[in-house]
Amino acid sequence: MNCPTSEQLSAFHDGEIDEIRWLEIERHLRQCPLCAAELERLRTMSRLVETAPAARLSPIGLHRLHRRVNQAMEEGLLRFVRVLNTIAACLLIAGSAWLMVKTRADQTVESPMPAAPPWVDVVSDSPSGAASTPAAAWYLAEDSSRGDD
Amino acid sequence: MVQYSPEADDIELLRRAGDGDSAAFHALVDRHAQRLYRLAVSLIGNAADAEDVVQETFIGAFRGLRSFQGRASVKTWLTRILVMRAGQWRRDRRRRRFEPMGDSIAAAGPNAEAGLDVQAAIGRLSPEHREVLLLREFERMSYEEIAEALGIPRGTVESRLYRARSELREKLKAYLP
Repeated sequence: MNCPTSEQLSAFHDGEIDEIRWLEIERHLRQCPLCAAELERLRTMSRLVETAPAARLSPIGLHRLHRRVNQAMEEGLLRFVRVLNTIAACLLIAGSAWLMVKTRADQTVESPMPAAPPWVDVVSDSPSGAASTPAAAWYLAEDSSRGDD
Repeated sequence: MVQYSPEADDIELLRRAGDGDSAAFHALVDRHAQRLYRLAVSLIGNAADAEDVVQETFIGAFRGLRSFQGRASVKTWLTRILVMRAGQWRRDRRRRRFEPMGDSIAAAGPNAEAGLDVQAAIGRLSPEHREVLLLREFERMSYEEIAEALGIPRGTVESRLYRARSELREKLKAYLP
């Protein structure tokens, strides 16, 4: 096979290549000193990178981290309580408004307009000419008896 | 408070934390804090800010507990949040110069000088190259995991890693055959 690309060699070094390709490259490396040297450089560099000093979070830093996480948890809880409070307040306002409107409507239904007194003549608009009050009924009855004369 | 054994599964801890078990979340913090801190210091180059970024990472993870869908491992998910926070930190502060890390660095033994040179060389890589190199070399993440953590295609991971190594090799040629 031809020399693998540098990217393929890098992936080979990381074990991130499929098995067939891996076998081909491995066979090639036995015959190609240039590619073998390139692979060796990659390995040396990985070992070198491992010598970079490792930062460690101090116990105090870890404590600060846990404390900050606790604060975030409490803030989350407080936010939840605040949302619940807001919802409860909205429901209370909406409920009060609804109750107020309903009470007014009930009062309107319970005390309708006063009925016309019997001496007020009311003529029905209905086509049948039916009387809507006792006074109208009396008038209609009188009228019809006059007509009979 | 419930104590969780080191063998407890990350996913299980995350599920319990989502159900309101704060001890489970603290167990996750204990488990991943050192790893994320090391990565943050290497990404940012500043120990104090790295600690802030790690704090923001865990707070972000806590607030986004329900967004975890289990497609990636918890390690990859946390790493992704950290990388995003570190990127945000870079954009906010406009402080791209790699700074010495002070006393939070463990003594590196006989290779201390080489180690410091390596650290400085990594710090001079572009952020994209630094991220991919650190996730591979420090975190030992697979290409798939790196792709998930950085939100880029696997092929991009491969090419970025190759370029990062080429760049690093150029900077460290005094140490290489």
